Amino acid sequence: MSYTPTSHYGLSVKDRTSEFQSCLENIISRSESSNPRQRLINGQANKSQSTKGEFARRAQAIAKDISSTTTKLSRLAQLARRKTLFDDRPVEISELTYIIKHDIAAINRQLADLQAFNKSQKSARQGQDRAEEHRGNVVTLLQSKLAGATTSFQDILEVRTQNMKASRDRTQQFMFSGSGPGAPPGENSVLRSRIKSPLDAPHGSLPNDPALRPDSPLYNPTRAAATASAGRLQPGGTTQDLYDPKGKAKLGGGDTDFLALDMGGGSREGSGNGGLAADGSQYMQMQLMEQQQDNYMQQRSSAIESIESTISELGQIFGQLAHMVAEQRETVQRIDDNVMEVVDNVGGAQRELLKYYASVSSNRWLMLKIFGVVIIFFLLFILVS
Amino acid sequence: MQLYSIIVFANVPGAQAVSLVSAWDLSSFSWLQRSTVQEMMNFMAKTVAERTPPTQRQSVQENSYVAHVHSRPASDGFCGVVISDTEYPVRVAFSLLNKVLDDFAIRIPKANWQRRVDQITTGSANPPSKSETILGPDALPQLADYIKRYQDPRQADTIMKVQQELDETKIVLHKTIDSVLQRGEDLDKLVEKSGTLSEQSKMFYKTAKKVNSCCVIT
Repeated sequence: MSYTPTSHYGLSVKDRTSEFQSCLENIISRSESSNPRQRLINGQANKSQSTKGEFARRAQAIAKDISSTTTKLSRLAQLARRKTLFDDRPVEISELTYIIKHDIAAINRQLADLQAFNKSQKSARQGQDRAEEHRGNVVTLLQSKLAGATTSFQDILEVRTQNMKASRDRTQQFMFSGSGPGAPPGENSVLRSRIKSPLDAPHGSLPNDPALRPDSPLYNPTRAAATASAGRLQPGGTTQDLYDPKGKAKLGGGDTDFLALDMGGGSREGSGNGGLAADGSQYMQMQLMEQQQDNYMQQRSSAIESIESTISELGQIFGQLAHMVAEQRETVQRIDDNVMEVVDNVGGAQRELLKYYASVSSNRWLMLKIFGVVIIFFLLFILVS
Repeated sequence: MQLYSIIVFANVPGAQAVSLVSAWDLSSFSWLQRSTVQEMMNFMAKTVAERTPPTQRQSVQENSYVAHVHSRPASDGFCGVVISDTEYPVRVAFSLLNKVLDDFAIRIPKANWQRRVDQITTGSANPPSKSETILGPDALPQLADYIKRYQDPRQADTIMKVQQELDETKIVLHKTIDSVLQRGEDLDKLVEKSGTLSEQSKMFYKTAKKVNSCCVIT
């Protein structure tokens, strides 16, 4: 480029418009030339061209689906990363998860179809290796993109479950402190809203009835503990499959908590200020029964926990067993080496003995001479004596 | 650990409880005592069922018998009582109750017994005699099966069965580890012996070589 204008930025700007225009002309000429070629080939082998176009179309559709799924995934990631206790939108998240799952399954199917299609085309054609290779590469690329999307989906789901657990712990903390004003909705919104009314009632009655005052600090945390534990068990029932067979029983226990609360709250409001003492005893009684409900649930949970600990112990024992056996493997190898040495040594010794035997048995002349000398000495000895 | 009976009562709060189905296993009592014991248990179960508010679980003990009660919500209108001895694990009793009540709710529609129960509670019909139930023993044949199976809570209850199997597995594993240790000792002995053997075979080889190399005369 001879013309290099300097802008007021101080850099020299290259003018590459002519390059651009030449590229444009190239492309136009290529497409124009390919078009008559296509028209010619279309007349000859209509099917092959349509299949090539078909492949490209399918691949394009799959790529578009993958990109749309990726955008949905990013939206889901954004939603899942929110750590706020309020304004957690479980409905939207679950809908999105469901949609994404189905999308991924559909894309998987499409990819499988495309691959089968590709294979069938490969068997039909004979030449054009590069086009084959290109198609295979495209399929591989799409598959890898889909795999990437699936792994990121799984990561998002893990993050989501962790956040859910964390938020549940935080809500439990709030409930334990007994100061329910900030009772966060979260997923147990039904549970929390029902708790609010009986919680408010004792708070309001504190200045009025001294008899209830010792009850309420006991009452609130135990009630909060009971309902928090019931609440904990209930989302446990929804998110973990382990609890599902027992979910019915646990829900039954949870139901009793609700209805017990309502009875207390209802009767409380009904009796007004007159029957506060009677309500106090009713609260005590319900507290006892509450503990019994607790008892059953706690027994169950402790039994299951003991099973879990036993299983982990078993796991450890297996690990120790494997360790010991691995240690003994070295010993076994040493034994093996020793025995191989023995075999070699004994084999060598046998060879030597065989050689000796061969030399002795083949060496007759020497033997005759030796024996002759021995006999001469023997005769000499007898003759002398 | 004995399970004596499973009874399902029709229970309207405030009115008397009427037994709907029941299953008994009084084989541990002598034949003469059986009817007395049954009457007493019936009475105890009825009292406890009447005094349990809906959607509650309770365990009431009375000189060596325990009645476990689980009362369904008022809309269902029935409750189940399991009478056992004091050793029977409470959790298993309640899980059995859950199962029985669910079965009852599924298999026997309310219409079968609602009318007769209403008649009895309003006094227009007589309650059944001491050991009879409204629906008869064949209405829920699983009850007899349950009471037989749950005599051994360890086998019948899933959690206890799993725990028992895990304990057995742990014992087996301990034995395995002991035998692995024994195997280790044996292997050590083997190593020594094979070492000795190796030395001796080497001496053998050397001697054989020596014989070959020198003193070819004799």
